[in-house]
Amino acid sequence: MAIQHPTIKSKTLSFTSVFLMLGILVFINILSYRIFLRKDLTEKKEYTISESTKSVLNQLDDIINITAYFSEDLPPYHTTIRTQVQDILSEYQAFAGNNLNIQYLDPGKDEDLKARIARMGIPEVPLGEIKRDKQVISMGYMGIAIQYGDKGEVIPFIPDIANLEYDLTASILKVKETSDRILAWIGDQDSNPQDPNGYKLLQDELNKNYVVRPMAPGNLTSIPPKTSVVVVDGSQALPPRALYAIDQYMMKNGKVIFLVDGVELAEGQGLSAAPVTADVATLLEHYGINIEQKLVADRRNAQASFSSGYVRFRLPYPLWPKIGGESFDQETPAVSQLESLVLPWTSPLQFETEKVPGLQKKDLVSTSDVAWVMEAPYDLNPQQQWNVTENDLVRSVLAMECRGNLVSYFKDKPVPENPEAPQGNPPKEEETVGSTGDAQFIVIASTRFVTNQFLSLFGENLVCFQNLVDSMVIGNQLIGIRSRVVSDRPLEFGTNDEKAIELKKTNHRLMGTILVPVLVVFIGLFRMMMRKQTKRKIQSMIQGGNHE
Amino acid sequence: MSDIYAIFKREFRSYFDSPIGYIFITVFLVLTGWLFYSSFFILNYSSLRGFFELLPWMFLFFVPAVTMRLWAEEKKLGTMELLMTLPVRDIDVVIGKFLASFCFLTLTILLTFPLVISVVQLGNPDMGPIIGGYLGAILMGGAYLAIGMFASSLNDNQIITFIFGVVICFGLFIIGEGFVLIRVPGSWVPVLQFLGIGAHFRSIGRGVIDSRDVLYYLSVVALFLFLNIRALESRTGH
Repeated sequence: MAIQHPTIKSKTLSFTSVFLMLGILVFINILSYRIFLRKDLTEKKEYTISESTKSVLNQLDDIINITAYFSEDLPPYHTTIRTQVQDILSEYQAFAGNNLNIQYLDPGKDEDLKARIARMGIPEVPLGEIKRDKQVISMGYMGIAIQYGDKGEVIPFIPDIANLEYDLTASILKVKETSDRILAWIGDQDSNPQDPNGYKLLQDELNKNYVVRPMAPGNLTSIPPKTSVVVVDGSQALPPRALYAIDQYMMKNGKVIFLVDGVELAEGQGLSAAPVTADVATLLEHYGINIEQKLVADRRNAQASFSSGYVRFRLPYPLWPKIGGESFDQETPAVSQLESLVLPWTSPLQFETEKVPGLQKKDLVSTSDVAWVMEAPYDLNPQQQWNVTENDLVRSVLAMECRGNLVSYFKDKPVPENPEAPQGNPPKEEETVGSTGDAQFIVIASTRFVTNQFLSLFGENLVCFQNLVDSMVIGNQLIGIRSRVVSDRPLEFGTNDEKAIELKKTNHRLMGTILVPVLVVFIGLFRMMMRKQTKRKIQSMIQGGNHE
Repeated sequence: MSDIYAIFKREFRSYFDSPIGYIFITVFLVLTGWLFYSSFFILNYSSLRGFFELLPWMFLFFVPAVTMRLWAEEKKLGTMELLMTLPVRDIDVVIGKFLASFCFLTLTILLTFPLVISVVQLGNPDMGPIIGGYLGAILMGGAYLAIGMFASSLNDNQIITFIFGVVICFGLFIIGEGFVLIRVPGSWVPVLQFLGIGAHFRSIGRGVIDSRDVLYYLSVVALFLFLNIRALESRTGH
């Protein structure tokens, strides 16, 4: 390392070697984009295509065409999405092999192609970008078409890739199906997403995978046998003929999800609650399930927003139990992977085995161990003192699934009158199916948890409901993909006592901010002292040596 | 190898033989802890995302502060000449110094472990993004260190080398960020995104260890250490 003055020759060599090094690194990095390894460390393997998708792709026995329509000159932010979509599609290709034909097209200025994809349902969308310090809107395509034979599905616009795997796999399954999946919704047809008690948001989501057919209970005489699944809104009045239609659909091995309340809420001067016996409860009682007229409260709960005069405040609200972890049945894929579910003003379900000996019951959703029940008259006040003793604590079942033998509620009973039968003519003889060996139904003790209001508050409720519907119709194929999209990992302090919570927070703040720095300072001071001591010793040794 | 180890040992000890290392660790931990906890309980989410979002910005100032003295101090104290007359290669000196500062920074990052204890005790975090976040932070820190060391070799004044370091790190950080990308032509976006230091950190921080991100950081380290060696050689005329 002798010091010399640089010559012109050595400078040139230096520049050459720098460029050579830069070139090698650029080359290696470009190559790394072709050959690379990835290890997804997330718990639910969120960034790797799921086992469900792999299984769907492995089972493809014919060619499915996927065409991604992306404009070439997308605004910068959206080009990232195009790259991410390409990454995902290349993973699909890897697992599907020759049974997946993927191509990328830029509609550009091809007016024929533009018209064709517009007919398919992929629009040219306005996309924001900044040009010369001004916000401008440009038009572009960011959609995907999935085609199999003459059947097609589209994902019209991809704002991000959060749900892309689910949408793609669901579309592949859908185009492979020979007939539509029909979901009959027995209740009012909701068209207003602003109505807090309506189901418009849920129905819109269900419409992506199913043909949702609302059926007014007043006119319901029978349910078409091609219906894949029936959802019964238990808050609706169900005349005997509607109950007969549901019962007979079940006797023909139809699958049903019942939403039902044990307590009715009324909004007047404040919120009040009263016991209710839903029409559908009669049917369910015959099937061995009772909805108790009690309200469930739980120390593990969601926060609710309340107003008092001009002030709005949020409080933990025990009457909105928040289900998590072990409270979901771990053997049912539809719920086992869920992280949370909020069931507002729900009631306990009871199952009477002796009434239905051939029916197998599974508790899908339960409260935590620190839950209790309230009987009428119910106090809904969020600011009340929740005086509960350890003896009051009881675990309640809030949703259950039943399968097996079932006897019709209408067996040996007269068939209820058909309101649509023409007047004057003698009614046509109808034959009641008396029993089934393959009944399948789910009962959830809440009609409110999937209303517009609660879906906008708790998105995970939608995932739970979609999973249950899918598990009855499609099986568990899509469940694994959807459940991992939602991740709810709140902090838990193990108590509702504000003082104890504040103390815990302070302890953690101190531990995280002060503890280690204080230790570091002490170690530093100790080392400095030791060094000084050693220095003194050496100095005294030197001085001692000099004296000698 | 023994030369590298000797230089590494000397440099690593030097951090703890003076108050600088302790002051650096203390200030870093207090600041990151305070900033993290100021939003942690409000967000009510058991994850270290808030901490990892802070790190690229914290590193912009802290890492050049670690490296600014690496060459500049040698020159100031007159030990540079002594070092250059030793029978060691430039590459060994550079690698030894880099490894020492890298281990010092890694130790500082790992001393934030109480934050991990907090999220684990108060919730059920996904450990993937936490492991990925720490790995990404160490790799990103390594890249910043290599840049800072190169900056330190360019001038004798520590303040100037600190500013050089901050400017180069800041430049490499922001070119891949959204607020820059929305202002450049679409065809530049993939290139700038690839060059940006933060984008690779976020990618690993999700909990996905991708060979492309790891290779990017190793390339940045290799390039700037190489430039560092060249800068030394230009002074010594090799």
